[in-house]
Amino acid sequence: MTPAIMTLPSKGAIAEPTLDFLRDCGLRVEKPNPRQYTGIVKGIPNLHVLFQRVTDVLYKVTDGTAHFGITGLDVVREHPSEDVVVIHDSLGYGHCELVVAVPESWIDVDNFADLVDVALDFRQKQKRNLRVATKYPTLTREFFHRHGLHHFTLVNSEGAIEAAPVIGYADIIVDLSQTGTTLRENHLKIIPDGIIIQSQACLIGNKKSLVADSSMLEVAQNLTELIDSSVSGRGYYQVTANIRGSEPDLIAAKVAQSPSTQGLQGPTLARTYVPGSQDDWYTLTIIISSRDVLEAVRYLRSIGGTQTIITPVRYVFLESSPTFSRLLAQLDL
Amino acid sequence: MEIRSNSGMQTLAFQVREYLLRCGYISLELPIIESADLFLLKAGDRAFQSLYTFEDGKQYYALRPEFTAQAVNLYVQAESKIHPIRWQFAGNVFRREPGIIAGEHYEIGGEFIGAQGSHIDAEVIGTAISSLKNIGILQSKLILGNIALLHQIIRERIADSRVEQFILGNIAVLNNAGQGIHYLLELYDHISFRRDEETIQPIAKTDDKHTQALSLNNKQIFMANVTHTGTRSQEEIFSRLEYKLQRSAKRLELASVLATLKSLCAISAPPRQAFREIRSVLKTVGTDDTHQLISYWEGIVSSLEGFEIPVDDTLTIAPGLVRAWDYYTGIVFDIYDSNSNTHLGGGGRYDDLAQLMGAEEKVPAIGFVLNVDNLLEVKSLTDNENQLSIDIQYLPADAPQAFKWATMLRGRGFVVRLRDEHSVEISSHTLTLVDNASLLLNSDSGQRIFSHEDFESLVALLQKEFDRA
Repeated sequence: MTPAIMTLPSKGAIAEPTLDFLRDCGLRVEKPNPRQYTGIVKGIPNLHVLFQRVTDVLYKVTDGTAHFGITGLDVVREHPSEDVVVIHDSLGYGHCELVVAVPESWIDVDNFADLVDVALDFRQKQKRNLRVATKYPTLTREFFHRHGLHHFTLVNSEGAIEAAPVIGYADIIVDLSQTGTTLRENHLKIIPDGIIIQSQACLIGNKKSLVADSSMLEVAQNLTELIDSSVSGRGYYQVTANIRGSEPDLIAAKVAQSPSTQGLQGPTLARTYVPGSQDDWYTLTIIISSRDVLEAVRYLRSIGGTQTIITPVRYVFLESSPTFSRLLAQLDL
Repeated sequence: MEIRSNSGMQTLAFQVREYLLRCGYISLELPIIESADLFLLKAGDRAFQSLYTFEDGKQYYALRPEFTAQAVNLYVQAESKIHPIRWQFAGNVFRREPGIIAGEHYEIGGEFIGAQGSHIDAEVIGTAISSLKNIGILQSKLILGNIALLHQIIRERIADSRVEQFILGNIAVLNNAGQGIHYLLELYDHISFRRDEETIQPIAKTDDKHTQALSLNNKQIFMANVTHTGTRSQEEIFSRLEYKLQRSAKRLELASVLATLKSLCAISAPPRQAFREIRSVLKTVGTDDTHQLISYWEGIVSSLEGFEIPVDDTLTIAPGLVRAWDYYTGIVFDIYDSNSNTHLGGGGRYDDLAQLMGAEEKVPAIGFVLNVDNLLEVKSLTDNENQLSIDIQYLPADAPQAFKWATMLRGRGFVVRLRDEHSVEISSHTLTLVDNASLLLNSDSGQRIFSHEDFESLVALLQKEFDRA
């Protein structure tokens, strides 16, 4: 059986968060030696790990050296390939945006349409195109043309792009931004409708190997099952409370009256025998959204609940993995 | 997969090009692949969307979608001192079009650069229609629009080239059911020609004098406090801001202009009726300049009569005609086959393009293009070569004589295919090589044998057979 290889970023903003994310999904990556660029995943047999730079993660999956990879969605969209399939496009970390930013002193530029005007001004008055510094030529070109800005020249830049308008080798920039702080510090402002892509970490796969090799599809299923159930689980808590009452149906109806305690699929009640008590007691179990915790506790108290215990849910497995179902559809399987 | 001969198309293209040569259009070749910037120089969204583009290294290229931009670039680069010039081009052009997988067309274009006047426009339009008559397309209809008039109406009331571009790019919407002026105004707001009301309210909602005072005040604050302006000057930034605020105040004027254009673009009629209606629409808003443009337009129509074009029957005046390329500045036209309504070609005047390509001054120019694929469809010439061709059947040992006969007949304009005993018969006219040197012809009038001395008789008989066919 061919071992499956997953490439992960070796350094950069999403390197550590990727290992944390996988660990939380029950997919702890073990490196025999911190200096080595290989490792194994504990949760899935026969899944090996190869550490690469963020862009090289994509290249390794594209050329089939690796079968799976985790990288930024911006990288995948910038280098589109028919050999790569995006299995999960929002793993929930590494958020950033690819944005169009102009000098903040350009008070006449409030939106992208203004920038189209300014580009025409450059052409008519300075007899040259608007110059755009970016590391993302493909996404930039596509976005600019789609929004009616055709007169521009891309200036490829690998260094500190934010300084380009001040130094003067470009008029505006297109770059990744997480909080906008770096841009502001360099006297740049983001054009509100100039957000080219909202990116976060994503899971990708080599299309050919997924179609041709059923063992790779099996690995993909295991990965997506654990990722889906873990990501879903983060939004929920399990609530257990003791509640006084004589009729279980009546208690269930009261619990279901509040939206905060309706749960994923209604409450479970079990008879609890309390030595020496004259009353009937039941133990209630429900799965609730994490944002409803305090409201649920208040409501349960109001209907006779006590000794409420709330524990985090690690996994929520549904009937099937939605991500894996989407993958099968993408692969026409 | 169907294999189709392109001989019909080649013949047709040759005939058109040969006719244009007789009209003084010299033939030039242009590259199929060009820098995409050349085609985007004055192109709008529609033109960009129709381009097939690709990257090679850091260069951005396009397959040529038409000839005009390249022709004008060639003219500017050559710094030609000869005026005017007439050039013709032929070849494949590539345009993305909705519903078409491979937007490849064979077109012939003619450009007349360096001359102006209604008589020049009429000459170019007349030449395009005459070239169709020359290949046997006698029944065509001509639609004539005038972008210069639309430009003039807009410019007289809204001096803003981007708004002008926006209106012309969406002119078809004006008379669409369910869209119209209201839709266009909403679109105008949506694409943010206006600043957000809250941010501009102190300035945009006041009268002009107040606006100036506030602007002046803001300008002083801006100049005093803002230093990091990148590659634009403070003056450039503030001037554009003021310009933008004025644009916002022009919305009411825009609605009025759109109402005029809507009435104008609804007109589509034979010349006399159309010009009467156009004058009626522009009665209150027209200026001397607009009326001069109408007279110019009428001048083209009367000159076209010299090409024996029955203008009352075949010509439609349509002020709403705006062709797909944004570089047109004056008269524009489309030509259709009267029977099938197939689009055969079109063109227009583009006086600004040379200057945008780097010419020092404005160069008047007008051009046209004919879509050979569609001409062929109308002419149905695809299989004609089978009807006009001859097969010579021979035995391998007689090959030299067969080759000699074939060469002689081809020299007289016949299509001749050689066929040995294994080949399948294709033509209805088959000559068989007999007695090593003579040809046997089977025809309706019986069998005849021709020797080399009888060559002229054979040619006459074959010609007669073809004429009858």
